Amino acid sequence: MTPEERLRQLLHEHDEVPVSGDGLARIRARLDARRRRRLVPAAAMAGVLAVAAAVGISMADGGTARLHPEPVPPAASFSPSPVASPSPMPTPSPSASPTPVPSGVTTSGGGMPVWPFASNAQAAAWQADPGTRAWASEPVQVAQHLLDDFLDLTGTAVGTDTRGPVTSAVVKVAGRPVCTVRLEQVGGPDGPWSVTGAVAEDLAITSPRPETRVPSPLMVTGTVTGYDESVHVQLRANAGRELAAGYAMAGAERPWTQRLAWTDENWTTGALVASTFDGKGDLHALVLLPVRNG
Amino acid sequence: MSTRDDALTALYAAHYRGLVRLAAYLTGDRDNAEEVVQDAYVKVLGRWGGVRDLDRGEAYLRQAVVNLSRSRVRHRVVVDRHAPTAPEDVASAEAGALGRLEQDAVARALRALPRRQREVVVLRYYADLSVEQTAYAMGISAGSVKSHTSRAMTALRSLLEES
Repeated sequence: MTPEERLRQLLHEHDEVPVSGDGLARIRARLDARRRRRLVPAAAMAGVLAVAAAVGISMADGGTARLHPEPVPPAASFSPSPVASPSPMPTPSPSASPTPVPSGVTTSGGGMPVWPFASNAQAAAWQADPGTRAWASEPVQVAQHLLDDFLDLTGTAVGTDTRGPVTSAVVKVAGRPVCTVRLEQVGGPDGPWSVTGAVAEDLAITSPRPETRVPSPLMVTGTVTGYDESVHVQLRANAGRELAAGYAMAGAERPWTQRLAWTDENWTTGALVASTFDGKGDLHALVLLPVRNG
Repeated sequence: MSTRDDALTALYAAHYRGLVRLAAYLTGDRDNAEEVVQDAYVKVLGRWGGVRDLDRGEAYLRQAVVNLSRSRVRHRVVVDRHAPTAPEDVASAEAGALGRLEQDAVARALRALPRRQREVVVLRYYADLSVEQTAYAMGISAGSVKSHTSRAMTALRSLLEES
């Protein structure tokens, strides 16, 4: 018997863990309470008739309708406490309830989500069926997938720090922190986590400001501390494709500037990303700002 | 009975006990494993998209248990920092059989593994998942699963020899 087979046998033979016997009833009661909490505020927002119709549809089809057939109003079921955001992260005003940013998306901390979810509709679709993005329920995994899937960079997202409705995840390369990713929930308290920015100690974008409209061509400026290096600057659409990119030459404590121009206007939300790399080609610092097309 | 309730009943009957044991292995905490699993059911079924997802229910639940177990362990690490040191687990008086001692040693060794290594061992050798299924449940690549498994087996051998 191989060690793996023996291990498998021991794990399966180990004592049963006792279960209480009322687990099904407890889960059912919690789900019912949760559903009631969602329906009441939706009625207040959408109007009695609209909600009555929605409930009628839900009952008529045996409850197979999506659990969020109507957008849940932000302030109704989502009441995070104010958060002290670490500077220089994009800092929405502290508020007693989630702030719909101008595009209408609702986030737990009032930031503008960039990836993987940039709208309430995307968040609602995920809640109905997470598909291959079930990992979006864990902020640290969203930070990891940001590097792996969106930016195609190598790094490891490690521990998270949660302050009220905002969570920060540190990304490390070879054990050294390269950035802190800010994450917020989109669409409600059970919504998926999405990236609303990333900051680094050694690198910053000073213009444009986060969450502003950016036209083409765009002059991007920033600062870098440390030795002379080149800064890779790129604009990416929420869907992931690169719209424009370039390399800016940067010197210690001197501002850098890079002009970006694009012809693809088929995007609404995007990420302005600046990154530096060390001599071995490993990521050294990363900054990400949410921006809008405009 | 609604379709969603049918789905809950079916998923409960098929997977609840197994998931409780999975959570117990992942957290090293038998007393609170059931709570973790109930949280997972509420989380997954609370966003249930309909009966068409029933076939994927087990995978969703398992992934939720992995994530919630991580949160529970992280929370416990913080709590334990501020708590008085508890005495080591002592094998019960009835635990005389060699097999039982070996099982206890494995359980202790599992708890001593780093989180990801513990997860791959439990998911691969207790939940009997493939490399790809384990990767999905943990949210990592298949290659990472293989490397964590290799490291975990080396560490387990070492830990078991020490005990």
